[in-house]
Amino acid sequence: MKKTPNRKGNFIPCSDKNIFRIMKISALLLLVCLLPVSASTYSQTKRVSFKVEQATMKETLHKIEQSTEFSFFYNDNLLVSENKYTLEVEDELITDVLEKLLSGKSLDYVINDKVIVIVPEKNQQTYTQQKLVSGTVCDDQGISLPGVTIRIKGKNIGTTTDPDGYFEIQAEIDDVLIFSFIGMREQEVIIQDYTPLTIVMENDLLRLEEVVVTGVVAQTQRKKLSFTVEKINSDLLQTVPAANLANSLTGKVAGIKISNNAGSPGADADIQLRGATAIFGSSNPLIIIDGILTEGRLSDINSEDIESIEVVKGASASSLYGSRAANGVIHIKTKRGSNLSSGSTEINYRSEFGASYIPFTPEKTTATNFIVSGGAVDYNTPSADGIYDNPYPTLTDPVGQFFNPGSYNTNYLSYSTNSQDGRTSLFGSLHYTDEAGVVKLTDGMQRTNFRINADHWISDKIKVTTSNLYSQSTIDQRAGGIWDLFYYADPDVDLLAPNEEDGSAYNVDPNHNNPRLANPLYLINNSKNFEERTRFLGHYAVQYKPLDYLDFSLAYGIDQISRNSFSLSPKGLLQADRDELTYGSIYKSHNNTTAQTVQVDGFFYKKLGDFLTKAKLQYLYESNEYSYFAGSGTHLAVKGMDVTSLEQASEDINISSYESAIVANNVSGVFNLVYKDKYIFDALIRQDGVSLFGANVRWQTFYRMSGAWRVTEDFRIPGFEELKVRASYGVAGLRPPFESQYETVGLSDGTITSPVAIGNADLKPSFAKETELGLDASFLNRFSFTFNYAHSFNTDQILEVPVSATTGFATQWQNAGKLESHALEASLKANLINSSDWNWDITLLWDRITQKVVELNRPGYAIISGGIFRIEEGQDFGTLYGHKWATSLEEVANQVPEGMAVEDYFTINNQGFVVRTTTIGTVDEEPIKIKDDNGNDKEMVIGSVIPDFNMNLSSFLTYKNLELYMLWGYQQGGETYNHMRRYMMINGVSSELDQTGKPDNEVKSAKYFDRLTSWNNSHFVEDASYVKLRELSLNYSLKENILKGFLGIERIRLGIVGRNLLTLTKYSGFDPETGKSEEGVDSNVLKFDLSSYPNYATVSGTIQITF
Amino acid sequence: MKNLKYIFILIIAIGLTHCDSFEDLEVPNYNNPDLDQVYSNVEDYPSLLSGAYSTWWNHCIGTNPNFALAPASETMNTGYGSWGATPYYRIPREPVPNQDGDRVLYPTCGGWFGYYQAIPTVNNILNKLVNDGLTVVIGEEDHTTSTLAHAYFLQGILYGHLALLYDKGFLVTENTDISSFDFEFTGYSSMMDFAISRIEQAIQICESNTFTDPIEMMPGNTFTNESLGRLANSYAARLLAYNARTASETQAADWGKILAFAQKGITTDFMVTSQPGWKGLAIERDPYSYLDVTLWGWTRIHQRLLNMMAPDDPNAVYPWPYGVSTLGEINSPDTRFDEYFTYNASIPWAKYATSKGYHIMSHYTFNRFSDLYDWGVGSVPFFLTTENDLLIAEALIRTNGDKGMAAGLINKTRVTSGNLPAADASDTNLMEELYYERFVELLMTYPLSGYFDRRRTDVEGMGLYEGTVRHLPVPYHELVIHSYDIYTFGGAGNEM
Repeated sequence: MKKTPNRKGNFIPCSDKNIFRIMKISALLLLVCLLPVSASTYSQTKRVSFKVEQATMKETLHKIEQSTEFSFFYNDNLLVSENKYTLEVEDELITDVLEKLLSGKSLDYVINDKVIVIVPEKNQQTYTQQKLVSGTVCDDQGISLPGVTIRIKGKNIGTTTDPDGYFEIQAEIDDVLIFSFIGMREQEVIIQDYTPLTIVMENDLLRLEEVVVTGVVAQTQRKKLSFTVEKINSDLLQTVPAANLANSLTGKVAGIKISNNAGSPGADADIQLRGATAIFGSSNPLIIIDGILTEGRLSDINSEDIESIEVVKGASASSLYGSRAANGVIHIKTKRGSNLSSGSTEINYRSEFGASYIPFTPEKTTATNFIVSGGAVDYNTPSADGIYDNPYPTLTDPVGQFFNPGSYNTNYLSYSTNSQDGRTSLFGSLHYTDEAGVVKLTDGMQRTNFRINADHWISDKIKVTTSNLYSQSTIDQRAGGIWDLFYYADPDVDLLAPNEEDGSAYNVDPNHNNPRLANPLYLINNSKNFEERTRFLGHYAVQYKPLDYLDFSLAYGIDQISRNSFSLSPKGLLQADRDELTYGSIYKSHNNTTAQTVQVDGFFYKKLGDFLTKAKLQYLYESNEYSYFAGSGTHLAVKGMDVTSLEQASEDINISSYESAIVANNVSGVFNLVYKDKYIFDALIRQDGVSLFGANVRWQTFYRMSGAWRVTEDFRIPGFEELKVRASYGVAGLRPPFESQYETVGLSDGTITSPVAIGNADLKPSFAKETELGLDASFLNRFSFTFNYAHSFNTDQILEVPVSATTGFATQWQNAGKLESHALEASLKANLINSSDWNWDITLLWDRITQKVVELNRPGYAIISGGIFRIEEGQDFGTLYGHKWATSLEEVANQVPEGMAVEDYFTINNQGFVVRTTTIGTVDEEPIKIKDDNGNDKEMVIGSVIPDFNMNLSSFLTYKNLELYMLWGYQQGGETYNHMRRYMMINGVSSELDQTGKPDNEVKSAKYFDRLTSWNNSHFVEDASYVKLRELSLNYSLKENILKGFLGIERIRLGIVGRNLLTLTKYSGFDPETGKSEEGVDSNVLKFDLSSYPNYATVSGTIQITF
Repeated sequence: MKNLKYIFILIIAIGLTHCDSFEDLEVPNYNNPDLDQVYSNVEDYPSLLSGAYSTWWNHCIGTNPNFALAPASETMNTGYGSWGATPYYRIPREPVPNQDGDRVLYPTCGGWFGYYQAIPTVNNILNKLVNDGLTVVIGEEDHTTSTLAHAYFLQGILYGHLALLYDKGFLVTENTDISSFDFEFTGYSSMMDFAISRIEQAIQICESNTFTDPIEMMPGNTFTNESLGRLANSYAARLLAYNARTASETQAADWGKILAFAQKGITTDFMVTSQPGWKGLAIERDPYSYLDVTLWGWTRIHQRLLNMMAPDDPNAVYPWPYGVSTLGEINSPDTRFDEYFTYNASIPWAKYATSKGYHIMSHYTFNRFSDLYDWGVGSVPFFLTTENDLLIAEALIRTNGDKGMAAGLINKTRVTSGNLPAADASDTNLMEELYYERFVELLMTYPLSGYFDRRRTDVEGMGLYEGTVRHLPVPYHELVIHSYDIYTFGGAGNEM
């Protein structure tokens, strides 16, 4: 990468990193308020020409402004009584002109680029008593750094380094110079003499100086935040870029949870930040991509384009986004050509090729409870003892036959360039991913992404930015609905055998035990089921900066999502459970979402004495239009896989459609005040007018108050570079579903059926009201530590409340509940080794989040699987309900016949269950459920999905050009309901049934296990604790000094990447993290394991070439 | 270029001071109409009543409470699946749960919320026609009387079904101001009285007017005053007869009135064509779901019914012997046995059944109306003339009427379809022979006929298993909304 910055204009980015641009802005804004120091190199070389006659000083300065790009700032009192004069200047240095103008007028000037401040000469005199300190600043590779900010501690004096890293500043002995630069650790140097300084900036491994832009009034260093905003930089994301961007967030931020509702390639993942905020409704955060408030999720976005991701977890930070933000915000910034230095170009090619596989499958029994004779199982004759101890004569591997290591292949090409003058930049990329997944015969997902981000400075004050992504993907969904068919296949079936009926592939009815269950491979091989998705994300903004302390922008964003689904089950297929051939069925649907925003921002930045003030006013208009239609039918006219027309169907014709529109007008104001860099105060208010709110409450208010104290600015604490305490309180919201405010009457097949929902003109958004207390510290130059405690009430929960049947309506949407959450989060980052050859960084994240339903203004209710999850006032959100098997004699005391002692009547068997004493060792032995005093099986709490805590550890170890990266995840506690295991038991295939080799006194009969398979019971509540190796990579880089300009290649990076390689857990299913999204609750809450495409592992090799 | 700043400032000024001038926040919902739209056009009233019929229909033959009470009647088995249904048929019987289950799939809820869902439509239309005096003129033809007749009939059968199923309910009519309603319960007898009175009003309109419906009110049924009148009479007889919870209540019923209604009742089978929006499969939740009766052969004919039809065959032993998972085919003297039922010994079903209890074991699936139940093809035979005949026969016997005529009505199916020896007026077990016909011929026509018959019969040995609920409690949700205590029924001594 070239390092020849050519900066011009007030905030034109032209350095070799985006951070240069940010620093440039900071420096300029700082200088506007600072006393004069020196002229910049650029300004010193600028020549001007003009002519004035009988003009005052003001008029002359104005003339210069008109004929040049300079702006003057001065106090009117300074120029009040001056004489008029005539002056003609021809191609003279601006500095010379200013000398002439101000000579003898007790005035002096301060110049920085095109900002010139006229000041009284006495100030200059003050500084003339000082000495000029000069020096150069470079990085640890010896490369000079332009744009480094240098200021004198405790004084309003500062400057920046020039393109060669050179600086000059007036300072006194014992002054402390502070050098700061984005991405580098801030340094303080005490002036002891006036010999030129050489400052070597070290990388800010702990990211203390990192700047965030989400939820704040303007870009703000993290150390000056008064609430939590997390940031993930591209280096961490690019090390193991995930095909689904959501998955690459896992383990990188404390308090984040990602669950794959369907882990199939291309499927969306559920993201939860700092717990759930809604009892009903998604907990997915608002996702902003390059300023676009998106409607879809992350599965269309490729990781390679990402520059950084900011994660806003709490209502305090997210309140800026009002009624869309109670679930938090994920703000993604993609790469831009302006990140490069002026006049440079970079081409990147990355390729990854590997395979995906299932690392673990639940075991099956090796024995049956049916008679085995003649080398075959007689599935019509159960064995007399009902014990699963008759070995299968042959054991096949239906799991291996069903799963198939699938290929994983991505190719990525990017091109970035920045013009010589730094005015025009471009970033373009082309990305193709082909991820087959792990199910045989299926095609998985193919996605092509095309991105163009272009920026251009129309003038020195006006900048146009554009971001564009077009994504097209095809997702094979044939594996989606067949999981239950696979789990229950007999251990001796051959899924690959041909059909005896017609010789076709994959025997449709291989299951002897349950002939209803068809061979999933037959269904996959003889059907179509896919989705074609296109998405366009566009953002177009004009920024105008008339003054250094004033900035306006106008932006338009669009997220357009189109999804077409098609499924076909052709006529004439064999059926597992019938002799007839199928009639065939067909389904087509189309979804379209167009979400648009127009945003106008006015931003003010000014230093007033010791107060640094920032303020922003914003107007945001949102429009979202959604439409859907679908048609389906059965009894197709012709056979074959080429059928595409709905007109083929002659029976069960079904059509449906839906459309919705959302309009919102939002206004907000944010104010941020920093006193002497020590005390930070922030406040905001936002008013949302949203069509989704009831007519009586259409405008709602959200707000934030926060403050922070940088303790180490007031007190020097040995070993601590930074210690900050902060507190904030914020209110954000969630919008009701479209239909919820309306009175609706049902329609079905051309008939008005019956009332559905009572309208509610008072339906408000739900509110997340969060108090956050936090601490940020960096110490020993190697460690940074962050701790948050967040207590929130999620009030006015939007719930569908049943109403009296006499109304004729079924429900009404109401604000009818409150969730209370406690979140503890801690993160520790450490640079354990830092030498010329070795570097080792680790990050340890920890969180503990508990949630309870504290108010429910409707009857409690149960969801999933007939009620395994119960929403009940006073209960944890995530409580598992059902029947419980007694494991102590006290629990069954009310079941003992009169006159008998519980110790005599019941015994605890060798599996820990209470059983009738007289049945032990007989076929009648069976566990006993806890009953209430009326003799009914007691519905009770049988578990909780809420873990004790989560931890993640990432490690980044480099030795010269070799780099080893690992990400480990750990969950302690929390339970998952393993419904799949229950079905495997019912169907006689679970390994738990296998009594082979057990001593006689431990053997249990089929009846024993039959009893255990009753609905929703404690036996299938499993500890979901785990340790996972989520990501692993080993990379080696060949750099320019080795390549020596070969083919113009700057760097080649070779690596091996692994994802989800290892899970250590007692959980018996595919994955303890499995969840299910149902009835409006997402899969991060509902830890229910059934029929989900399992998470799988991927191993691949990568090559990345940078030109 | 500098002028641009003024343009920007202007844009922001306009933006911030004229928020209201941006797009209106009133966004209509085009997906569903609201009540104002629904009742704004009087010409739509017959169509609205058709919608109310579909609501009534879909809950009459839908999943709940049929999925629980049909097996509780020991005429059909579920074989599998619960949704709160198992306690209704598990032996020993136990109190049935009355909690926060699904409002459609939960046994106590389905009928309650289903029937009440249609009542406001009927009440609103009656209010418009009777109290506001609107007339239903479509084209140039006045259909007010037919609309009124349907409204009264619907109101009657909706409250009639609520009375059949629940111990009490709220009586809300076209004259009730729901905002000041006190939500006091009305008992099942009084509710049935009201239902019958409204059906009688419908009958009176049918008898004193001549009309033909302007639309097909139910698939396959465009009523005239005569056909609606006959159906209303039959329905009144059905409701009055089935409302009895016990044998003594049956004996105390007004059989003279039932006889009068039934004698003016249907002369052809009342059937509803299976088509989208109108459930075609009895005990159906969704087409081809696993709650279907016969698909995959999960639901079977109860062994008690098989035993009744083949009492001497050891394979029809009742109760099913514990520990036995397979029995052979059954030979019955009734020729309908092989015609209506099919032997299926498949193990999976037996396997599930054993875990639920041997009392629901059976190898026979229901084969009658298989096209309908398997594929939704044809019409659902909801009120057969056989049922009307047997109501007449029962009323004749109970009112000491013409028993010969009663025997003749019984023999219409007993002899003709079953090839069994003819019943005779002198038979001491004439009522048993009548109920035999009811259990065999009406099976799965109206899914709960078996349940109501066992509940009300005074024939020894044909009643409900001890402890079976005799009616349902008001659902949990409704009780909670009005702050009533939760209660339930079921288990010996707590049947009602």
